[in-house]
This record gives sequence, C-alpha cells and structure tokens, in this order.
Amino acid sequence: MSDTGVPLTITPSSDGIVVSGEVDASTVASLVRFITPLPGESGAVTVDMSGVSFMDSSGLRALVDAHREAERSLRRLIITNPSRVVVRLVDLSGLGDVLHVSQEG
Amino acid sequence: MNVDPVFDDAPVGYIVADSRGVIQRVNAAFLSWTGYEASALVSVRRVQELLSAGSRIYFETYVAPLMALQDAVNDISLTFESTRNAHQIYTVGAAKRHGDRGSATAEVWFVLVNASGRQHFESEALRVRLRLERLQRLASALATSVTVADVASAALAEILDGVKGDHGFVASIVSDRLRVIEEQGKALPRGAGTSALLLDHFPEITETIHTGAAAFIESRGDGADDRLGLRIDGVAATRLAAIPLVAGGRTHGVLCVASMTRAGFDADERSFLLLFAELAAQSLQSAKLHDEVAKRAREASFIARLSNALDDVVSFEARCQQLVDLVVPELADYATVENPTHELRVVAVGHRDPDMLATLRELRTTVQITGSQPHSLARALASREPQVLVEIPPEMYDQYDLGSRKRALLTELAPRSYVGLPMFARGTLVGTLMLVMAESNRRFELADVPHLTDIANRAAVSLENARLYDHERFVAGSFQRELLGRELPQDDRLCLRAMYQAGGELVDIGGDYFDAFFVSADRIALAVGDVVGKGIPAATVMSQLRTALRAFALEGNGPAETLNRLDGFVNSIPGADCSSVVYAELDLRTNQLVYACAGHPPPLLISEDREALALWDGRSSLLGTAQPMARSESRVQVLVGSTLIMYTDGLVEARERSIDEGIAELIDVLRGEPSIDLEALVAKMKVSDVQRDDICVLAVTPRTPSGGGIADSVSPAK
Repeated sequence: MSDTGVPLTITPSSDGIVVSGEVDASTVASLVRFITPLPGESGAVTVDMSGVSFMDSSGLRALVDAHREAERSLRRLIITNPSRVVVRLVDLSGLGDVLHVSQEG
Repeated sequence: MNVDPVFDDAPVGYIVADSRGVIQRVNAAFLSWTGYEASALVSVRRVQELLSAGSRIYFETYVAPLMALQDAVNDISLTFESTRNAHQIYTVGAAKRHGDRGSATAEVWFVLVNASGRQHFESEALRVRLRLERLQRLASALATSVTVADVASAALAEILDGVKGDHGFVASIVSDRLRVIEEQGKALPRGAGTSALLLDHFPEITETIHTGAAAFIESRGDGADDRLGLRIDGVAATRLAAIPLVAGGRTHGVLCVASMTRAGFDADERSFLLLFAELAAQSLQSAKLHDEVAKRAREASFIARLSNALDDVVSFEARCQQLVDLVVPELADYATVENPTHELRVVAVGHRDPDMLATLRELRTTVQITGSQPHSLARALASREPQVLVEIPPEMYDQYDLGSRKRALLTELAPRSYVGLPMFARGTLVGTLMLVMAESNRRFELADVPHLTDIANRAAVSLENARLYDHERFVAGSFQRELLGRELPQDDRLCLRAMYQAGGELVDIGGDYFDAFFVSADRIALAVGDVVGKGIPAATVMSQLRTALRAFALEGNGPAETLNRLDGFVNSIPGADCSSVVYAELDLRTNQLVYACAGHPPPLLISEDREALALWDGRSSLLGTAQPMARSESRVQVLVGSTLIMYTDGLVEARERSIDEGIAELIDVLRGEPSIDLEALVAKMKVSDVQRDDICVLAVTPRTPSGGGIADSVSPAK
C-alpha cells in the first residue's frame, strides 16, 4: 500500500507480470520481488503497466535494474501497454532508448 | 366492714363508686396494685382523679356518657397513677350501674384486670415493628447504593433518624488514617468540620478500628464531664457512639453518632446501632469493591487517553504540554514537567485556573531544585522514587528558605497535597512530573501512587522517544543545512536564490540537492539534482554525487562532459544510479547558458517581459543509464533581468497532477510573478496537504552590475 491508500497490485501473466496502482518508494519493494530474479528460464519477460497511475524514480530504477539483469542473461524485459504516466516518465528520464517499451501487448 | 372474700380476695380489682364517682368501696387487689390505703380513697377521692391524664379524658368523653345512656360499658381500658413515682397501672375491664339511674343510692361498679404486662408487650411490639420498618428502609436504601459515598449517605440518614442523633459521620480507613467520607446533621449548615473536631477530641473513635469494639461515651449529665464539651447551637453534646464498620473480617471504617438531647443510649438503641452498623459495613464492603473496580477502569482509560494524546504530537515540548494538559484538572489542580538537566528547565505548566499559570511558571522558574527539602523533586530524582506529601499544612511553607517574593507566589498557589514523580525511560532521566492539589481540597493518597507512577513511566517512554526524535531531526536538519546551506556565491552580476524542503513528515532530509559555484572568474556553475529514495540513505548518496559533480565541473569539462564523467562515478556508488540532474554553466560576460539534463525536468527561463521558455534541449537519460560519452548539451541566451529556474520534480509532479500539467502551471505562476519568493512559489504549486517528495528550487537572475563599466563590456551579442 502506498500512503494514499491506492494499492500496488502485481499479478502474474503468461509471460511476465501485470502492474497496476502506484509505484513509489513505499511500494517498489513488491515490484522488485516479482522481477528480481526475472521470472521464467528464458525468453522475454513482459511488464504490463497499463494500470499504473503513478510512478516515481524508484520505479524507474527497479525497471532499469531488471532490464540490466535481462541483458546479462540474454533475455529481454519489455514494458507493455504503458499508461500515459509511464510513457511520460520514461520520456522525461531519457530511458526510451534504454528500456524496451512496446505499445502492443 | 365485713370481709367478702369474693370481693376482697378476687384476682381482679373492684371499685364501687357513687353516681358522682366518689369511691364507696375498693378491694385489696386494686389497693395493692396502686399502693393506696383504702382510707385515702373511700369517700375521699373520685375514680377520675386516680387516672392518668389521658385516661381521664377517655373516662369523661367515653365512659361517663355511655354509662349515662346505657348503664353499662364493656371493654374499657383505664390507666391509673400509682402512688409510686412515675408508675402506672394499665387495666382493662367493664363498668355497670347498680340501682336506678338518678337514684341517690345508685352505684357504679368497676371490674378491672391488671394488664400492665400486656401493655408493655404491646409497646414492645410497636417498637419492633418500627425498627423492622426502619431496617427495611435501610436495606432497600443500601441495595440501591452503589458507591461508598452513596452507602455512607443512606446509612447515616437512617441511623441518625433512628437514634435521634444530632450529628453523625462515616469515616473510611484510607492510608491507615480515618478519612470522613460523609457527614450529616444539624451542625452542618454552620460548616463542615464537626466530624473532624469529634475525631480530634475523642481518640476513642479511632481506637475502635483497632479494638473492633463499639465505644459509647456518655455525659454524666452534671456538666463536670467537659470532654463532651462539644456544643452545637449552644447545647453540649451528651452522648456519642462510635461503631467500627466490620465486614468480611476487615474493618472498613467507623460510624459515629453524637447527640445532645438525652443522657445515654439504652440497650435497645445500642443493639439498633450495632445491627445497622453491621448492615452498613456489609454494603460498604461491596461498595468499596465497586469503587475499586470503577477506579481501575478510570485508570486504565486514563492511560489509554494518555498514550493517544502523547502520540498526537511529535516534539518533546509538545508532548510535555499534552501530559500536563491531560493530568490537570482530572488528577491534579496544577502540574509541571521539568527537566533539571535541560536549559529550558520548566518545560510545561498547567493550572486549572488559567490566571494562575504565570504565577506557577514564575515560582517554578525561580525555585532551585537542588535543595534537600524532604519530598522535593530533588529527592525524587536522587532516590528515583515518587515523593508524596498527602497533607501540606500552610506552616510548612515556612520550612523552605524562600525569599519574600517566592513565599508570596507559594501562598497564592496554596499547595495542599503533592506528588513528585521522576520520569526515567530506559535508565535515562527524561524529567520530573509534579502534581499538586490546591483549591479543590482533594488530596493525594498513598494508594494513588502506583497509578501515578504508571502514568509517569508511560509518559517517560513517550517523552524519551520524542527527545530522540527531536535530536535526530536536529542532526538531520544540521546535516542537510551543512550539505546544502553553504552560502551561495555572492556576486553583483547576478541574483541567486535557492530553497530546499524535505518531503515526508519525519525527517528533514532527502535526496534532492542544488549547488552553485564559480568554475572560473566569469563562469558560474548551477546544478539541481534528485537522488532516488528518501531520508538519510538518499542524502548520503546525494552528498557524494554533489561533491563529484563539483570536482568534474571544476576540471573545466563543461556540462555534457561533466555528466559523462558522473555516469562513470555513479556506477561505483550503490544507490546513485538513476539519479537525475540538470547541470548548467552561465558565462557572466556573455550571459550565455550551456546546460545538460540527465533525465531531469527542463529548466525554465522567464524573460523580463514575462515570456516563458522551457529548456527541452540538451537532454539525455538518467545518470548511470546512458551509453558511454553520449551526453549532449545545449545553449541559450539569458538576458539581464530574465530568471532561470531549475527545480526537482517534487515542485511540479504529484499524484493529483501530471508532470506536464505541473510544468504548465509553474510557467503560469512565474509569468504572473517572475520575481516570486521561492517559498511562496512552492506554496502556490502545492496540490495536496501531504508533501511526499523533496522539493528543491534554484533561481538565477543576471542583472546589470552595480559597479560601473562592467555592464557595457559584457553586453551580450544578440
């Protein structure tokens, strides 16, 4: 739970996880637990972020860390269906060229 | 006169009288009952004259008229005065006329049975009935009395009435002393204290609680016994009964009744008093249990309220004041929290009369806590034990070596009962809690000490936490000020302003930072950055990053290269990557700004004519995430009088507002008021009461130097 009471919800999907709610310093630990280590043995891991209503730099760092781990193990971390908030944050932080962001599920 | 055995030896009384009632003949039985000689009666006295006053009326209004009507009356009852002092003969019988009505020779014959024994029985029965009724009333009154005070009041009212007492009281044993809990009687309107007077005057009353036996003290009635010299309305008390209230094998108190109307308590009244006292004692015992349970409940509720109230506020001083506000007036008439080792010694004061606060504060501020007076706070601190003074007689004020001013303050406060409690938490002295009873006439009892100690201990832990918190806050604040508050460079070619506000509620410290320093005589470096995370870990990273940025900038690398180098640096500092930063250098000769943004919100440029420009160029990704040597930078001209604003996302971003909306709003505010005070700017941008994120703002306005000549030489080429 973030301190506004909007929970961070993470549910597994066929090839990764679906994240919704608020990702901030108080909730990011849950996200980190789901993607470190990366789920599955090989192949791409998708992080569906369509339901993310707020994210701050701690969320970005969790994604960057997971992305680096994926690259080391020759896998891919793909952010799918990013919400407007996520798109804008990725843009502003200049991580559009670093992270793999896909508009299609 | 012939002796007629049927007349003279009969077991009934015979009187023969003439029509006017004058006695003609009387038998031996009647004479022996009444003690008269026959010669004193026959032809001398009339029957009516021998009767008691009541019977005479009965005779003349009932017996005589009936005789006149019907010549015979059955079932009469006559009481004769005997010749023995104050002795009466109660008789029942019948009267019959013998002879013609109106004839001079007619006689009236009275046949009487001595029923004195039966009359005694009847009055006894009446008395028992009255007493049973009284007992019933008392029992039902006691049954509905729940508290000790109710029981004492109900019992006393019934007992005073029952033995016609003029004053009575019930005293309970509190801290091994008798404490009057209820007094009643006609003496009361002229002021309570009669009971205390009786207790002082008659040690027998107090002795009953040790002997367990009732004491009946009676005046000899000759005025010589002046120990019963207590006067109520000018009449001396003549008798006093003190009965211990014993139930369940324990003595709970004493019931005392005084009277000035009769010489003593007869056996009947004594047994009545003992019986009623026993009943009252039983009720008192259960009422005491009830009161005890109620007191425990109140105490538990107080502790709960105390914990909540203390948690409501954060700082040490605020918690001290909460503590004082809670104990006054519920537990004390006035109270202070003091800390002898603290420079602000009197931390909090409270008085039920707000007008007395200044007096209390003055006394406590000037009085020395180093004295060795018994029961003083100093003693409480030295012994670590609560100090209790159940009763402070005003004479005691003189025992303290006070100046006249302090003596006057003390007299004004008029303390009557005192508890001094040391507050230790985890072995550390946090302060002292002083509780005082004054005008309310309440007293602290030894039995109160465990609860009060409990309060002091709970408060101590809370106060110690607050003190540590205050300390941590102070340290954190100093740390942050040390990191950020180095003075901004002074230069008359520009106006520099900065502000920092930590997010969250607990610690004034975070990961945002700003910096401004000259990299050369004419180039000023400006930086605003944001480290991921909060609190001391973020601040630690921030300070390293800021130092590194300075070092790389001072090498003359320029913005893009400085960021490239920082990329290498953040990988060696845990927690430093993904930080954002905007770094710019302003040439004060040309007013040209070179800037580079690593994933940071764009700086804003507000011209003198209120045109706003968001600097969206020179961007690259967060520190530690870019390709090596891939940072870019951009240039822009900053006209004299324009304001460059660099800030962290806390200023513009919130859950309630997207970052683009926030930037747009910031532009609006700045266009409306380009030279707005930074605190006011932050307040205007606020969208919620809860500030979660740190906020950092740096504002730079190049201006025409006040020193002559320079302005001309540095006019920027457009």
